[in-house]
Amino acid sequence: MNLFKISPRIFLTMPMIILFVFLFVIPLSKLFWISLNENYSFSAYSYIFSQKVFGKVFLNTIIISIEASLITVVVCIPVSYFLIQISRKKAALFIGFLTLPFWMSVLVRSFSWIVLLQHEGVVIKLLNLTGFSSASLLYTRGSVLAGMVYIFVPYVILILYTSFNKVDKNLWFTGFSLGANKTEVFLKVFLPQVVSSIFLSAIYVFIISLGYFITPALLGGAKETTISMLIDIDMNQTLNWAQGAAISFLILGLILPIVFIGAILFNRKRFISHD
Amino acid sequence: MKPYYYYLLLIVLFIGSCNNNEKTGQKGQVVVCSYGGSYQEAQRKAFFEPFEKETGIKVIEANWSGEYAKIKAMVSAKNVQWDLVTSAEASDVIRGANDGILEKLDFSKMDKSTFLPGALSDYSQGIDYFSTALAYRTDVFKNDNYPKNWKDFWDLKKYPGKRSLRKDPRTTLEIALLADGVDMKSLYPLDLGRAFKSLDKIKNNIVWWTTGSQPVEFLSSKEVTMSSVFNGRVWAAVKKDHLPLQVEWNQGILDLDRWIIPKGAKNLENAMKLIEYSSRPEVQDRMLQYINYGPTIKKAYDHLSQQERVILPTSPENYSKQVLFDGGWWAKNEQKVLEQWNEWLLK
Repeated sequence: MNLFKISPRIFLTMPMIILFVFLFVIPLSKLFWISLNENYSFSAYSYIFSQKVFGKVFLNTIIISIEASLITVVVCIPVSYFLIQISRKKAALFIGFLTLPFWMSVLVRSFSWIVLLQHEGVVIKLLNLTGFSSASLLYTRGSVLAGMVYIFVPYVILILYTSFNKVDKNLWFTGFSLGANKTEVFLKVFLPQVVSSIFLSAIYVFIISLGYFITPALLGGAKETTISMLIDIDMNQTLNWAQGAAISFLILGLILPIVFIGAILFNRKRFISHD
Repeated sequence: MKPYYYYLLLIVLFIGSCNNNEKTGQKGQVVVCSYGGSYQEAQRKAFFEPFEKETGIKVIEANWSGEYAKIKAMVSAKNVQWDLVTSAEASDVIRGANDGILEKLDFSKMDKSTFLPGALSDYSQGIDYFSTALAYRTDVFKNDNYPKNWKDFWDLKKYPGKRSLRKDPRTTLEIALLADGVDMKSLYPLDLGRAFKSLDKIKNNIVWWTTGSQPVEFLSSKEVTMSSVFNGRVWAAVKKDHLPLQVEWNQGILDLDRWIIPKGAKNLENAMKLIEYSSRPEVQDRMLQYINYGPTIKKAYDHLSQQERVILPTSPENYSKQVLFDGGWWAKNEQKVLEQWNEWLLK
């Protein structure tokens, strides 16, 4: 066909472009129109900026997201580092176990934390046995973070494992032969090569956390109100769709610069294209 | 196959799968949406199954958790899947009517005077009364040493333990004011400042609930010793699992489950028939076998057993101890209150 001959590149990316337009550009434009009250009115936006509560919830959401991404990355680095030290077969087995939770719904996984952490649950009973006593672990910042980190860990391990694996193993031996010990090799030889993928996986978790709803809603107390819960109230409860849509665009406005900064700061070529 | 045929095929498949094949437009059926769980089961046994037998109209069930956005989206997309919906939120019903997404009900075949006052509006018909009341563990608070009103609920010294309240200003602010000594008769309009100040006093001892099943879960796991609850849930838990729970009717907040019809419902007539059927006294009486929510028809109260008088939120003895939820006030003020509420939660 003509079309195919003229530009195979564009032709081959057509499905992607069509999906992008239909599932992203068009719905998002519609949502933007709703946020303007379908009338070129920015009243929803100005209202949000005039009320303190939105700012507080935004800040709250950002802090929870930063905490979740930091903890996730800190948990995942040693695990991924361990996975590249062992044989490929063993690593595949471990990764199989790590990704097992993907087969369960996020809802079920969040609920299981309620069972674990509840008043007469396993964790509190164990704590009591060891001498620590705690009345309640549930509906706190800690329980929200535990639930969120637990859900993000498999994703981040997959990302980190792939990038850790690309590091040339001979560099270790070079390091050792030049007299460095294990810690020095890790810090001075290994880490500099993977720091950008660590940073990018942190950004990845941060962005997902910003819009996360189920886990904070189920495991959070009063202080873990996140921005997605406000959107839920506007969309489902008070039917103030303009306001809900406006908040959504403010989140988008927050995320896009972070993505760009991340891409610019850390070697655009390596992470955006592989040409 | 040429590549573009392949894409064409994909697009056709995609559009094909978007087409809704449910034959909801057919005659002889009605799609009813309710809250699921033990409540919808009661409706099924008391209303839907006998209604099918009597009229031959097939009842197709769906369920929701009260997300009004779904009705708004269906109506504005002109693809209304539900013919009849159960809603428990008075303020939503009023706002829905104002937004023009509800159908006016046709009461010509019913006698309006047989209903309890307040059970009907132009756009909704009360199915049953439920109460947001105080429930406590009877093994923690024994004999006469139990919380008898919301003031006791606020008394952390005399009645120790965590409490649970609904993470929603609706009913929770009412409860806070009653606890602070506001008279039931002069509850509305709500004094917001006073309500939040009252809540401040026990804020650190509250575990919040969001879905109707949570308070019973918290009580059964001893996470809390008392909670505000939808009364039917406790009754079901006591009956099924023999949990040591008791409901105190004093200062409960009464509200209605209501029938509403989304604008443009495809089986409007059948929906009205089901509404009429569910309001017959003998049918309302039958509902009592399955759940202890109060009938909206006066006649259904004619021959209550002693047992039913105790467990019904609207039996004459219990009704007088409670206050009616004012959906009109909430419909007007909800948006503002919610923002104050969210700000207070974060403090």
